[in-house]
Amino acid sequence: MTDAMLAIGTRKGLFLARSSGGSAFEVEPIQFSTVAVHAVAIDTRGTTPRLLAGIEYGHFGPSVLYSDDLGKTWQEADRPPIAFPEKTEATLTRVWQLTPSPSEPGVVWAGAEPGALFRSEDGGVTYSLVEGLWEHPHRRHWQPGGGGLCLHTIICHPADPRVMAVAVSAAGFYRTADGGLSWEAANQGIRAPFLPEGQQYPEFGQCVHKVAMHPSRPGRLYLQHHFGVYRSDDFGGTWTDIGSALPSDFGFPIVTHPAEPDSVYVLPLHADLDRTPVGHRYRLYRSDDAGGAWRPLERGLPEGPVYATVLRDAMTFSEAGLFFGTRDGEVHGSRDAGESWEPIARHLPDVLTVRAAVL
Amino acid sequence: MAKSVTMVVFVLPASLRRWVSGRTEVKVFAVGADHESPPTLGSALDMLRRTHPLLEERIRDDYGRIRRHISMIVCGENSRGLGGLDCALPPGAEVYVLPALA
Repeated sequence: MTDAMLAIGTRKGLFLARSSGGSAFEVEPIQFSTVAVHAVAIDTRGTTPRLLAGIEYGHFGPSVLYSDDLGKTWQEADRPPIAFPEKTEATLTRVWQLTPSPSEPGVVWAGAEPGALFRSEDGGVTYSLVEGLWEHPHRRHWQPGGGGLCLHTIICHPADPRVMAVAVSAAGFYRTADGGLSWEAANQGIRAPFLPEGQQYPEFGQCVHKVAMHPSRPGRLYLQHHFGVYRSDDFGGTWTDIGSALPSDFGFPIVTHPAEPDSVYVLPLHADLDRTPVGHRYRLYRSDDAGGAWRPLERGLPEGPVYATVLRDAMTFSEAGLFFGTRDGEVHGSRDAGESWEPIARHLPDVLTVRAAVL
Repeated sequence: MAKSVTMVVFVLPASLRRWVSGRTEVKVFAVGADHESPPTLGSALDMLRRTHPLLEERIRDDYGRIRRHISMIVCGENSRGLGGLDCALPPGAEVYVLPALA
Protein backbone atom coordinates (compact mmCIF):
# COMPACT_ATOMS: atom_id res chain seq x y z
CA MET A 1 0.00 0.00 0.00
CA THR A 2 1.28 3.43 -0.85
CA ASP A 3 1.84 6.02 1.83
CA ALA A 4 1.97 9.67 0.90
CA MET A 5 2.90 12.75 2.85
CA LEU A 6 1.94 16.35 2.40
CA ALA A 7 3.97 19.13 4.04
CA ILE A 8 2.16 22.45 4.36
CA GLY A 9 4.16 25.47 5.45
CA THR A 10 2.09 28.38 6.69
CA ARG A 11 2.59 31.83 8.14
CA LYS A 12 2.10 30.41 11.62
CA GLY A 13 3.39 26.87 11.58
CA LEU A 14 3.85 23.59 9.78
CA PHE A 15 1.20 20.99 9.11
CA LEU A 16 1.91 17.46 7.96
CA ALA A 17 -0.77 15.29 6.40
CA ARG A 18 -0.58 11.56 5.77
CA SER A 19 -2.46 9.24 3.48
CA SER A 20 -2.20 5.48 3.55
CA GLY A 21 -3.20 3.25 0.66
CA GLY A 22 -5.07 5.99 -1.14
CA SER A 23 -7.12 7.01 1.86
CA ALA A 24 -8.00 10.63 2.55
CA PHE A 25 -5.22 12.78 3.91
CA GLU A 26 -5.33 13.28 7.64
CA VAL A 27 -3.86 16.54 8.83
CA GLU A 28 -1.72 16.28 11.96
CA PRO A 29 -1.61 18.93 14.70
CA ILE A 30 0.29 22.14 14.14
CA GLN A 31 4.06 22.21 14.62
CA PHE A 32 6.20 25.32 15.17
CA SER A 33 3.14 27.32 16.18
CA THR A 34 3.50 31.04 15.38
CA VAL A 35 6.70 30.37 13.41
CA ALA A 36 6.55 31.06 9.68
CA VAL A 37 7.51 28.11 7.48
CA HIS A 38 8.50 29.47 4.10
CA ALA A 39 10.14 26.41 2.57
CA VAL A 40 9.71 22.67 3.00
CA ALA A 41 11.18 19.63 1.29
CA ILE A 42 10.50 15.93 1.56
CA ASP A 43 13.78 14.24 0.67
CA THR A 44 13.04 10.64 -0.29
CA ARG A 45 16.46 9.83 -1.76
CA GLY A 46 17.77 7.91 1.23
CA THR A 47 16.49 4.83 2.99
CA THR A 48 14.91 7.11 5.59
CA PRO A 49 12.95 10.11 4.31
CA ARG A 50 14.20 13.44 5.64
CA LEU A 51 11.99 16.46 6.08
CA LEU A 52 13.52 19.92 5.77
CA ALA A 53 11.90 23.15 6.88
CA GLY A 54 13.10 26.69 6.22
CA ILE A 55 11.58 28.67 9.05
CA GLU A 56 11.53 32.20 10.38
CA TYR A 57 11.48 32.73 14.13
CA GLY A 58 9.88 36.15 13.96
CA HIS A 59 12.25 38.61 15.64
CA PHE A 60 14.96 35.95 15.93
CA GLY A 61 15.65 35.36 12.25
CA PRO A 62 15.59 32.39 9.89
CA SER A 63 16.95 28.87 10.17
CA VAL A 64 16.66 25.37 8.70
CA LEU A 65 15.47 22.37 10.67
CA TYR A 66 15.42 18.72 9.69
CA SER A 67 13.57 15.61 10.80
CA ASP A 68 14.49 11.98 10.16
CA ASP A 69 11.35 10.53 11.77
CA LEU A 70 8.69 12.13 9.55
CA GLY A 71 8.19 15.12 11.78
CA LYS A 72 8.01 13.53 15.22
CA THR A 73 11.19 15.35 16.26
CA TRP A 74 13.22 18.11 14.64
CA GLN A 75 16.89 18.98 14.83
CA GLU A 76 18.92 22.06 14.07
CA ALA A 77 22.64 22.12 13.26
CA ASP A 78 24.93 23.02 16.15
CA ARG A 79 25.96 26.12 14.24
CA PRO A 80 23.83 28.47 12.13
CA PRO A 81 22.89 26.28 9.17
CA ILE A 82 22.82 29.07 6.60
CA ALA A 83 24.99 32.12 7.10
CA PHE A 84 26.64 34.56 4.75
CA PRO A 85 30.43 34.81 4.99
CA GLU A 86 31.41 37.98 6.84
CA LYS A 87 33.12 39.42 3.77
CA THR A 88 29.76 39.64 1.99
CA GLU A 89 28.38 42.04 4.62
CA ALA A 90 25.02 40.41 3.94
CA THR A 91 22.45 39.09 6.38
CA LEU A 92 20.22 36.12 5.78
CA THR A 93 16.66 37.39 5.65
CA ARG A 94 14.72 34.29 4.63
CA VAL A 95 15.09 30.78 3.26
CA TRP A 96 12.78 30.59 0.25
CA GLN A 97 13.55 27.23 -1.23
CA LEU A 98 15.00 23.84 -0.27
CA THR A 99 15.72 21.46 -3.14
CA PRO A 100 17.40 18.05 -2.80
CA SER A 101 19.67 17.38 -5.76
CA PRO A 102 18.38 14.60 -8.01
CA SER A 103 21.91 13.69 -9.15
CA GLU A 104 24.17 14.12 -6.12
CA PRO A 105 23.43 12.13 -2.95
CA GLY A 106 23.56 14.27 0.15
CA VAL A 107 23.44 17.54 -1.74
CA VAL A 108 20.62 19.99 -0.96
CA TRP A 109 20.31 23.45 -2.46
CA ALA A 110 18.82 26.40 -0.61
CA GLY A 111 17.50 29.58 -2.19
CA ALA A 112 17.85 32.57 0.10
CA GLU A 113 17.08 36.22 0.45
CA PRO A 114 18.86 38.46 -0.39
CA GLY A 115 19.38 36.79 -3.80
CA ALA A 116 21.72 33.94 -2.93
CA LEU A 117 22.15 30.22 -3.49
CA PHE A 118 23.58 27.90 -0.84
CA ARG A 119 24.77 24.31 -1.15
CA SER A 120 24.66 21.60 1.50
CA GLU A 121 26.68 18.41 1.25
CA ASP A 122 25.40 16.87 4.47
CA GLY A 123 21.80 16.32 3.53
CA GLY A 124 20.58 19.81 4.31
CA VAL A 125 22.01 20.27 7.81
CA THR A 126 24.59 22.98 7.01
CA TYR A 127 25.13 25.07 3.89
CA SER A 128 27.79 27.15 2.14
CA LEU A 129 27.31 30.14 -0.13
CA VAL A 130 27.64 29.50 -3.87
CA GLU A 131 30.10 32.26 -4.55
CA GLY A 132 29.93 32.00 -8.33
CA LEU A 133 26.41 33.40 -8.33
CA TRP A 134 27.05 35.85 -5.50
CA GLU A 135 29.99 37.33 -7.43
CA HIS A 136 28.04 37.66 -10.68
CA PRO A 137 28.46 41.22 -11.99
CA HIS A 138 24.70 41.59 -12.44
CA ARG A 139 23.97 40.97 -8.77
CA ARG A 140 24.63 44.47 -7.49
CA HIS A 141 22.10 45.73 -10.03
CA TRP A 142 19.35 43.32 -9.02
CA GLN A 143 16.21 44.95 -7.66
CA PRO A 144 13.87 43.20 -5.25
CA GLY A 145 10.34 42.29 -6.25
CA GLY A 146 7.38 42.85 -3.97
CA GLY A 147 8.34 39.79 -1.93
CA GLY A 148 11.96 40.83 -1.52
CA LEU A 149 15.11 39.90 -3.41
CA CYS A 150 14.26 36.25 -3.20
CA LEU A 151 15.92 33.32 -4.89
CA HIS A 152 12.75 31.27 -5.02
CA THR A 153 13.35 28.68 -7.72
CA ILE A 154 16.08 26.07 -8.09
CA ILE A 155 16.08 23.88 -11.18
CA CYS A 156 18.38 20.83 -11.19
CA HIS A 157 19.12 18.70 -14.24
CA PRO A 158 17.99 15.19 -13.25
CA ALA A 159 21.28 13.51 -14.19
CA ASP A 160 23.98 16.13 -14.73
CA PRO A 161 24.98 17.97 -11.55
CA ARG A 162 26.82 20.59 -13.56
CA VAL A 163 23.62 21.86 -15.12
CA MET A 164 21.20 23.86 -13.02
CA ALA A 165 19.34 27.16 -12.94
CA VAL A 166 17.78 29.59 -10.51
CA ALA A 167 15.21 32.34 -10.64
CA VAL A 168 15.33 35.52 -8.59
CA SER A 169 12.67 38.20 -8.28
CA ALA A 170 13.13 40.62 -9.88
CA ALA A 171 16.44 39.69 -11.45
CA GLY A 172 15.34 36.92 -13.79
CA PHE A 173 16.48 33.44 -14.74
CA TYR A 174 20.13 32.38 -14.51
CA ARG A 175 21.74 29.09 -15.51
CA THR A 176 25.05 27.34 -15.05
CA ALA A 177 26.72 24.48 -16.89
CA ASP A 178 29.68 24.05 -14.54
CA GLY A 179 28.05 23.26 -11.24
CA GLY A 180 27.64 26.86 -10.14
CA LEU A 181 31.11 28.27 -10.80
CA SER A 182 29.81 30.59 -13.53
CA TRP A 183 26.32 31.77 -14.39
CA GLU A 184 24.63 33.48 -17.31
CA ALA A 185 21.37 35.35 -17.52
CA ALA A 186 18.87 33.43 -19.69
CA ASN A 187 15.88 35.70 -20.21
CA GLN A 188 15.78 36.14 -23.97
CA GLY A 189 12.20 36.57 -25.11
CA ILE A 190 10.70 37.36 -21.70
CA ARG A 191 8.97 40.71 -21.83
CA ALA A 192 9.09 42.95 -18.78
CA PRO A 193 5.95 45.06 -19.33
CA PHE A 194 6.63 47.10 -16.21
CA LEU A 195 9.69 48.69 -17.87
CA PRO A 196 9.53 51.67 -20.26
CA GLU A 197 8.79 50.97 -23.90
CA GLY A 198 11.90 50.14 -25.84
CA GLN A 199 13.47 48.59 -22.74
CA GLN A 200 11.08 45.74 -22.17
CA TYR A 201 13.40 42.91 -23.20
CA PRO A 202 16.41 43.47 -20.94
CA GLU A 203 19.24 40.98 -20.43
CA PHE A 204 18.09 40.68 -16.82
CA GLY A 205 15.63 42.37 -14.48
CA GLN A 206 12.59 40.23 -15.31
CA CYS A 207 10.19 39.52 -12.46
CA VAL A 208 10.09 35.75 -12.74
CA HIS A 209 7.51 34.35 -10.35
CA LYS A 210 8.22 30.62 -10.73
CA VAL A 211 9.80 28.13 -13.13
CA ALA A 212 9.11 24.42 -13.54
CA MET A 213 11.16 21.80 -15.36
CA HIS A 214 9.99 18.45 -16.59
CA PRO A 215 12.46 15.79 -15.39
CA SER A 216 12.03 13.53 -18.41
CA ARG A 217 12.84 16.37 -20.79
CA PRO A 218 15.26 18.63 -18.93
CA GLY A 219 15.45 21.26 -21.67
CA ARG A 220 11.72 21.87 -21.32
CA LEU A 221 10.95 24.67 -18.88
CA TYR A 222 7.76 26.56 -18.08
CA LEU A 223 7.86 30.00 -16.53
CA GLN A 224 5.24 32.18 -14.87
CA HIS A 225 6.27 35.80 -15.17
CA HIS A 226 4.82 39.02 -13.78
CA PHE A 227 2.43 39.13 -16.73
CA GLY A 228 3.32 36.37 -19.14
CA VAL A 229 3.57 32.59 -19.23
CA TYR A 230 6.51 31.19 -21.19
CA ARG A 231 8.05 27.95 -22.38
CA SER A 232 11.63 27.14 -23.24
CA ASP A 233 12.78 24.01 -25.03
CA ASP A 234 16.49 24.74 -24.69
CA PHE A 235 16.90 25.20 -20.92
CA GLY A 236 16.26 28.89 -21.05
CA GLY A 237 18.21 29.79 -24.18
CA THR A 238 15.06 31.32 -25.64
CA TRP A 239 11.55 31.74 -24.29
CA THR A 240 8.21 31.67 -26.13
CA ASP A 241 5.02 33.27 -24.85
CA ILE A 242 2.35 30.62 -24.25
CA GLY A 243 -0.05 32.70 -22.19
CA SER A 244 -2.16 34.39 -24.83
CA ALA A 245 -5.01 31.85 -24.61
CA LEU A 246 -5.31 32.14 -20.84
CA PRO A 247 -7.94 34.39 -19.26
CA SER A 248 -5.05 36.16 -17.53
CA ASP A 249 -1.32 35.62 -17.83
CA PHE A 250 -0.65 36.98 -14.34
CA GLY A 251 -0.13 34.54 -11.50
CA PHE A 252 2.50 32.89 -9.35
CA PRO A 253 2.68 29.07 -9.30
CA ILE A 254 3.38 26.88 -12.32
CA VAL A 255 3.84 23.09 -12.26
CA THR A 256 4.24 20.25 -14.73
CA HIS A 257 2.63 16.83 -14.82
CA PRO A 258 5.21 14.36 -13.42
CA ALA A 259 4.68 11.94 -16.31
CA GLU A 260 3.73 14.21 -19.20
CA PRO A 261 6.18 16.93 -20.25
CA ASP A 262 3.60 18.65 -22.46
CA SER A 263 1.18 19.13 -19.56
CA VAL A 264 1.50 22.31 -17.53
CA TYR A 265 -0.72 23.98 -14.93
CA VAL A 266 -1.15 27.57 -13.79
CA LEU A 267 -3.57 29.38 -11.50
CA PRO A 268 -4.27 32.80 -13.03
CA LEU A 269 -5.06 35.92 -11.03
CA HIS A 270 -6.81 38.89 -12.53
CA ALA A 271 -3.82 41.26 -12.57
CA ASP A 272 -0.99 42.62 -10.45
CA LEU A 273 -3.32 45.29 -9.10
CA ASP A 274 -6.13 42.77 -8.57
CA ARG A 275 -4.53 39.69 -7.09
CA THR A 276 -7.66 37.62 -6.87
CA PRO A 277 -8.34 34.39 -8.76
CA VAL A 278 -9.87 34.85 -12.18
CA GLY A 279 -13.64 34.81 -11.87
CA HIS A 280 -13.18 34.75 -8.11
CA ARG A 281 -12.87 30.98 -8.19
CA TYR A 282 -9.93 28.76 -7.42
CA ARG A 283 -9.55 27.48 -10.95
CA LEU A 284 -6.44 25.94 -12.44
CA TYR A 285 -5.76 26.02 -16.14
CA ARG A 286 -4.17 23.03 -17.80
CA SER A 287 -2.50 22.74 -21.16
CA ASP A 288 -1.68 19.36 -22.68
CA ASP A 289 0.13 20.71 -25.70
CA ALA A 290 2.89 22.66 -23.98
CA GLY A 291 0.92 25.87 -23.81
CA GLY A 292 -1.04 25.98 -27.06
CA ALA A 293 -4.53 25.49 -25.63
CA TRP A 294 -5.70 25.76 -22.05
CA ARG A 295 -8.77 24.46 -20.26
CA PRO A 296 -10.07 25.20 -16.77
CA LEU A 297 -10.10 22.68 -13.94
CA GLU A 298 -12.56 23.38 -11.16
CA ARG A 299 -14.65 20.29 -10.38
CA GLY A 300 -14.77 19.90 -6.63
CA LEU A 301 -13.24 23.27 -5.89
CA PRO A 302 -15.21 25.93 -3.97
CA GLU A 303 -17.80 27.70 -6.07
CA GLY A 304 -16.77 30.94 -4.47
CA PRO A 305 -16.56 33.78 -4.60
CA VAL A 306 -12.99 33.50 -3.29
CA TYR A 307 -10.48 36.27 -3.09
CA ALA A 308 -7.26 34.80 -1.71
CA THR A 309 -4.21 34.08 -3.81
CA VAL A 310 -2.10 30.98 -4.24
CA LEU A 311 1.56 31.76 -3.67
CA ARG A 312 4.38 30.65 -5.94
CA ASP A 313 5.38 27.63 -3.85
CA ALA A 314 1.91 26.70 -2.69
CA MET A 315 1.18 24.41 -5.64
CA THR A 316 2.93 21.10 -6.29
CA PHE A 317 2.51 18.05 -8.49
CA SER A 318 4.29 14.79 -7.72
CA GLU A 319 3.51 11.07 -7.84
CA ALA A 320 1.44 11.71 -4.70
CA GLY A 321 -0.95 14.00 -6.57
CA LEU A 322 -1.63 17.61 -7.45
CA PHE A 323 -2.11 20.00 -4.52
CA PHE A 324 -2.43 23.68 -3.79
CA GLY A 325 -2.90 25.82 -0.71
CA THR A 326 -4.38 29.27 -0.44
CA ARG A 327 -3.73 32.38 1.58
CA ASP A 328 -7.06 31.89 3.31
CA GLY A 329 -5.87 28.58 4.68
CA GLU A 330 -7.43 26.02 2.39
CA VAL A 331 -5.62 23.04 0.88
CA HIS A 332 -7.08 21.11 -2.02
CA GLY A 333 -5.85 17.93 -3.66
CA SER A 334 -6.45 15.95 -6.80
CA ARG A 335 -5.51 12.35 -7.54
CA ASP A 336 -6.54 12.51 -11.21
CA ALA A 337 -4.25 15.26 -12.44
CA GLY A 338 -6.67 18.04 -11.63
CA GLU A 339 -9.87 16.72 -13.19
CA SER A 340 -11.55 16.50 -9.78
CA TRP A 341 -10.65 17.91 -6.39
CA GLU A 342 -11.18 17.20 -2.73
CA PRO A 343 -10.64 19.50 0.22
CA ILE A 344 -7.80 18.44 2.51
CA ALA A 345 -7.69 21.26 5.05
CA ARG A 346 -9.55 24.44 5.89
CA HIS A 347 -8.98 27.31 8.30
CA LEU A 348 -5.22 26.96 8.42
CA PRO A 349 -3.05 30.05 8.62
CA ASP A 350 -2.18 31.40 5.17
CA VAL A 351 -0.39 28.75 3.18
CA LEU A 352 3.12 29.63 2.02
CA THR A 353 4.35 26.36 0.58
CA VAL A 354 3.12 22.86 -0.17
CA ARG A 355 5.17 19.78 -1.03
CA ALA A 356 4.07 16.16 -1.46
CA ALA A 357 5.81 12.83 -1.81
CA VAL A 358 5.16 9.13 -1.92
CA LEU A 359 7.03 7.56 0.99
CA MET B 1 49.14 42.94 31.66
CA ALA B 2 46.04 40.75 31.73
CA LYS B 3 42.89 41.87 30.00
CA SER B 4 39.90 42.81 32.12
CA VAL B 5 37.35 40.08 32.57
CA THR B 6 33.87 40.07 34.03
CA MET B 7 31.03 37.64 34.30
CA VAL B 8 27.88 38.67 32.45
CA VAL B 9 24.44 37.20 32.93
CA PHE B 10 22.09 37.16 29.94
CA VAL B 11 18.51 36.94 31.18
CA LEU B 12 16.39 35.32 28.50
CA PRO B 13 12.72 35.61 27.54
CA ALA B 14 10.68 32.43 27.20
CA SER B 15 10.87 32.60 23.43
CA LEU B 16 14.66 32.20 23.44
CA ARG B 17 14.97 29.44 26.00
CA ARG B 18 14.46 26.63 23.50
CA TRP B 19 18.09 27.09 22.40
CA VAL B 20 19.47 26.63 25.94
CA SER B 21 17.47 23.64 27.14
CA GLY B 22 14.89 25.81 28.84
CA ARG B 23 17.27 27.79 31.02
CA THR B 24 16.21 31.29 32.03
CA GLU B 25 19.70 32.76 31.98
CA VAL B 26 23.14 32.12 30.57
CA LYS B 27 26.44 33.26 32.07
CA VAL B 28 29.57 34.04 30.10
CA PHE B 29 32.91 35.64 30.88
CA ALA B 30 33.37 38.75 28.77
CA VAL B 31 36.88 39.97 28.01
CA GLY B 32 37.95 43.59 27.53
CA ALA B 33 40.33 44.77 24.84
CA ASP B 34 43.07 45.39 27.44
CA HIS B 35 43.50 45.68 31.20
CA GLU B 36 42.11 49.21 31.27
CA SER B 37 39.11 48.73 29.00
CA PRO B 38 36.03 47.13 30.53
CA PRO B 39 34.36 44.35 28.60
CA THR B 40 31.59 45.55 26.32
CA LEU B 41 28.23 44.18 25.29
CA GLY B 42 29.83 43.28 21.96
CA SER B 43 32.59 41.28 23.63
CA ALA B 44 30.03 39.50 25.80
CA LEU B 45 28.05 38.55 22.70
CA ASP B 46 31.25 37.44 20.98
CA MET B 47 31.80 35.06 23.89
CA LEU B 48 28.18 33.95 23.72
CA ARG B 49 28.76 33.09 20.06
CA ARG B 50 31.53 30.74 21.16
CA THR B 51 29.63 29.11 24.00
CA HIS B 52 26.05 29.17 22.66
CA PRO B 53 26.23 29.81 18.89
CA LEU B 54 22.59 29.01 18.14
CA LEU B 55 21.36 31.38 20.86
CA GLU B 56 23.67 34.17 19.74
CA GLU B 57 22.51 33.70 16.13
CA ARG B 58 18.96 34.48 17.25
CA ILE B 59 20.08 37.70 18.96
CA ARG B 60 22.48 39.03 16.33
CA ASP B 61 22.38 38.70 12.55
CA ASP B 62 25.14 37.28 10.36
CA TYR B 63 26.88 40.62 10.34
CA GLY B 64 27.02 40.90 14.10
CA ARG B 65 24.28 43.50 14.49
CA ILE B 66 21.67 43.12 17.20
CA ARG B 67 18.49 42.13 15.39
CA ARG B 68 16.15 45.00 14.73
CA HIS B 69 13.32 43.93 17.02
CA ILE B 70 15.48 42.94 19.98
CA SER B 71 16.54 45.26 22.77
CA MET B 72 19.36 44.56 25.21
CA ILE B 73 18.75 46.11 28.60
CA VAL B 74 21.99 46.71 30.49
CA CYS B 75 21.62 47.65 34.15
CA GLY B 76 18.14 48.97 33.46
CA GLU B 77 18.89 50.95 30.31
CA ASN B 78 18.51 50.11 26.65
CA SER B 79 21.97 49.50 25.23
CA ARG B 80 21.05 51.48 22.11
CA GLY B 81 21.32 54.60 24.25
CA LEU B 82 24.60 53.45 25.81
CA GLY B 83 26.67 52.96 22.71
CA GLY B 84 25.12 49.75 21.43
CA LEU B 85 27.67 46.97 21.15
CA ASP B 86 30.31 49.33 22.61
CA CYS B 87 28.32 49.71 25.83
CA ALA B 88 30.67 49.04 28.77
CA LEU B 89 29.61 46.30 31.16
CA PRO B 90 30.21 46.61 34.91
CA PRO B 91 31.29 43.52 36.86
CA GLY B 92 28.46 41.03 37.16
CA ALA B 93 26.31 42.90 34.67
CA GLU B 94 22.85 41.58 34.00
CA VAL B 95 21.74 41.92 30.38
CA TYR B 96 18.04 41.42 29.77
CA VAL B 97 17.19 40.29 26.24
CA LEU B 98 13.82 41.73 25.27
CA PRO B 99 12.10 41.00 21.97
CA ALA B 100 9.62 43.60 20.81
CA LEU B 101 5.99 42.94 21.61
CA ALA B 102 3.52 42.81 18.75
